[in-house]
Amino acid sequence: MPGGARTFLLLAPALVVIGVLFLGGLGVAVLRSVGYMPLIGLTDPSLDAYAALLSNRDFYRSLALSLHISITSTLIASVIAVGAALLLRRGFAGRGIVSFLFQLNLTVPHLVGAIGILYLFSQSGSFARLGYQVGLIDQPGQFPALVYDPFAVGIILQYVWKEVPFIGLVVLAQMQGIGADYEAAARSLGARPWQAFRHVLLPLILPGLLASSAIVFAFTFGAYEIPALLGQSHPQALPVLAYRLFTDVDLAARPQAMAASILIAAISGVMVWAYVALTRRRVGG
Amino acid sequence: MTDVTLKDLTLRYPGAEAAAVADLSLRIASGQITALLGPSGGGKTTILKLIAGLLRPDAGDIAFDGQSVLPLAPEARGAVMVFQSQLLFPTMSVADNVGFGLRMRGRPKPEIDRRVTEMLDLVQLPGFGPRRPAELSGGQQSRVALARALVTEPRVLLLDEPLAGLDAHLREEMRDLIAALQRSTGVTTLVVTHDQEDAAALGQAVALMLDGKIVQHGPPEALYGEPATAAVARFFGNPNAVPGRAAGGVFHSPLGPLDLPRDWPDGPGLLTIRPEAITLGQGGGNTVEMEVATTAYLGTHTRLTLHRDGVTLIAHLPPDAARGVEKGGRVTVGLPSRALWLLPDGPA
Amino acid sequence: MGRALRTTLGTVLILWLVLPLIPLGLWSFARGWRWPDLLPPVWTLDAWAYALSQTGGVLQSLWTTIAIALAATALSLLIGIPAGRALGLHRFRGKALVELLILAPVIVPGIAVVFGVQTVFVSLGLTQSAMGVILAHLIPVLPYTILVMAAVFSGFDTAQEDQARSLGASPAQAFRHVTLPAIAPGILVAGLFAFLVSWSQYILTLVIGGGRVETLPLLLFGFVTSGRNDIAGAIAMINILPGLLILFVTARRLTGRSAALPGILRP
Repeated sequence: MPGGARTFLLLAPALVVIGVLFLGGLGVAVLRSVGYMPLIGLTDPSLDAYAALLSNRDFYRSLALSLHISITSTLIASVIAVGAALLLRRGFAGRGIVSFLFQLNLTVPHLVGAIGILYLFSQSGSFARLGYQVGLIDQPGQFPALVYDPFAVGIILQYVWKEVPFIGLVVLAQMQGIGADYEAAARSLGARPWQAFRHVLLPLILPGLLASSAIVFAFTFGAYEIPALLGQSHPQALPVLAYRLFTDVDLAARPQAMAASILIAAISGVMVWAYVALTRRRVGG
Repeated sequence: MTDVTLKDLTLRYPGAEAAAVADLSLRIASGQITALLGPSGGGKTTILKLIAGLLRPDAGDIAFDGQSVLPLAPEARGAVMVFQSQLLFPTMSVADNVGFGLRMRGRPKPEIDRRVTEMLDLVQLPGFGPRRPAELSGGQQSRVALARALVTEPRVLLLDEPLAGLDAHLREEMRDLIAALQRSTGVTTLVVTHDQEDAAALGQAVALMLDGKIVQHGPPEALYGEPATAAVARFFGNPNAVPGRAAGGVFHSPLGPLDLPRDWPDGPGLLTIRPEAITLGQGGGNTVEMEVATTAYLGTHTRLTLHRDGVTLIAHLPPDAARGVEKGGRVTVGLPSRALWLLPDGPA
Repeated sequence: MGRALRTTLGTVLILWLVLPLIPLGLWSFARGWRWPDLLPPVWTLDAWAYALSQTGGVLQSLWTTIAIALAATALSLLIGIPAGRALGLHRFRGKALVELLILAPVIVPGIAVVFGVQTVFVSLGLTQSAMGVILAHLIPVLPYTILVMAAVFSGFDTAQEDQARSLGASPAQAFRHVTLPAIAPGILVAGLFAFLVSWSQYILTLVIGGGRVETLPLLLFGFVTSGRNDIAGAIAMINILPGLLILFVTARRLTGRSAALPGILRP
């Protein structure tokens, strides 16, 4: 069998499945968002759903909230993850425990983590109770609102909890691949420890750091169940808004739900592009 | 000009059974190239890292000009290490690599630019500044690494296997370049190598390290011709060791009495002679008849394995001279007395 | 960084990593745990008894979740192993595009495609059925399996197959006796993690299953929002279990050191 045909046969089933389910799903969503579905008698495409969505103040508040959630979570998780990777690279008491917990944490479903955060940080949660026991507060309402709150603190805490291990392990693997010698060379040439990190190690780990951050950004931007559980009822994160529109009793809201999902896809698509661009341009190649 | 003294240095890596460096003492003469020679994996790189301050010894002291440098961080020591793999920073241009040390010290940009240009000229890479390290050949990378180290005007230059991985003609070019740069800067230089030829060619002094100990330290000629132990002789490709006893300037051995070049203290010893010093027929005084066990033509020379009375000698003869020597035959070989050397460590 | 500082930071990190899991475990054994008690006043196995009873619905949901995850994993391996081989070993035109297509579903959130998929599945009668949910789970699970298998195959030397062929093996025999044993650990990892990806799906199950296919995450969400913290705690513990098991299995079988997670991670 010629190589090309063989390659094609090996790939064909996978491409069909992904093509039909993923691209097909996206495509149908696009068509429905512009109201073009000949099968159900819609033959007159229009951008009404987008117009309706984009003229809705709630949409912008949801978009802003979702961007706030993913940008803040990604930044905080990235910084802590780099610190944690630096810590894990060297020996310290408890290093084995941390690396076990990192990996355990990766396998814990987001929803479980979100419930843990809820039980810890809600106004009747463990920290509020601790606050009462040490005499800081008298009743639950005095504890700062960290879940169901306007700043999405609980959601961000959950994402940071889950994504520090993710980014951390990617960066750690990259640091271990680079080894300690580049920094040693920099130190030998006169760099202080911070300079060696800033000028030599950081540029070297940047591709992996940015690539994993891009994945985290896209995930935290589009995940549904965490903001659905830990978020305020108004405004809602964009995926929650999209799902509400999708399940609205008024079927006219459906195209708007599709339009919202397409916007989520577009913004995360930019992240896919960034990821690919970053992983292609590997250092030293 | 800085001399470097290592005193009773000991380092054990965490979790390792044996110490990487144990009780090592060495004095590296100022303003010279000293070659630290030894088999691969013998802890030589560890010694460079200790001197550079990249590792801390468990015990012992390192002094530059008599002053301990142990309290100094690597960046404050002025001992620059050039790693075997060069480790040019792939995220920076060649010029930024060379200027790195000056940038870290906060020197003004015009000065950095000027010094970088000078250094690139000096290592014969003018105009290479804007390139990326990945675009350079192995030899060019080595030269950039040298320039990057020297631009900081270090007190001590530490080179880890600078010639490994280069092919033959690049190797010689690089040797010449290192020697020339060292002469013009006068920087005290320690070169680590596993190759005796590189050590001899580069080092004004050679320190041979076997099993974690400096077994001999001196000019290369001395290590070749006057090995301190049988192990040193073997490392330099001389397996010949004949047990016997010196008495009154004569060495009594299973090969018969052999005239020594000068008076040696009487007593038991191991007589050695470099394989290439053995001649065919009469020559230089001592002649011995031996049986030819094997012959092997090796291009530049023919190697003979010679036996007699439980003694084995290896001889390297010019192929012309060895023509007609047959395996199983008997030959008379000359062991010139000026080439004989008695190992002081006795039959071990 | 000094050793003491490193140890301190490490301890903080450890506390932060385990902290959210602690109240989940406590709640699953608690009765009448009200404000402002720091610990449950009464310890009980009630929540666990409910979760593990035949009538509570948790067990049925557990079997549903397992069945769906196993089916999605099996399908993904069947389709993903050949595709992984092509991506890991072959060079071909348009490879970058194929890689992009396979990478995209890993990164693009499920909510972006699930509405469109639901629209199609409605007309095919696949919504509100386990079959539909399994197919929907393939969207994140299959690309993930392919990426893992591509990494596995890129470390496989096809010269071994050529050697087997030249020694008289048929293509099938070469695969069975040479290739398969070499990639088996990789298949195990891909399978285990494919299982986990399906296991923790939420939005795909919710939209495609339409409430009829109730996997553990959906059930869990319901118990939390209705305030049954004790039962939610127990289900959350059950939900963590496969990950924990997989961690131990992979740590033992594959590397001998800590598990083989890095490189095949997901956010």
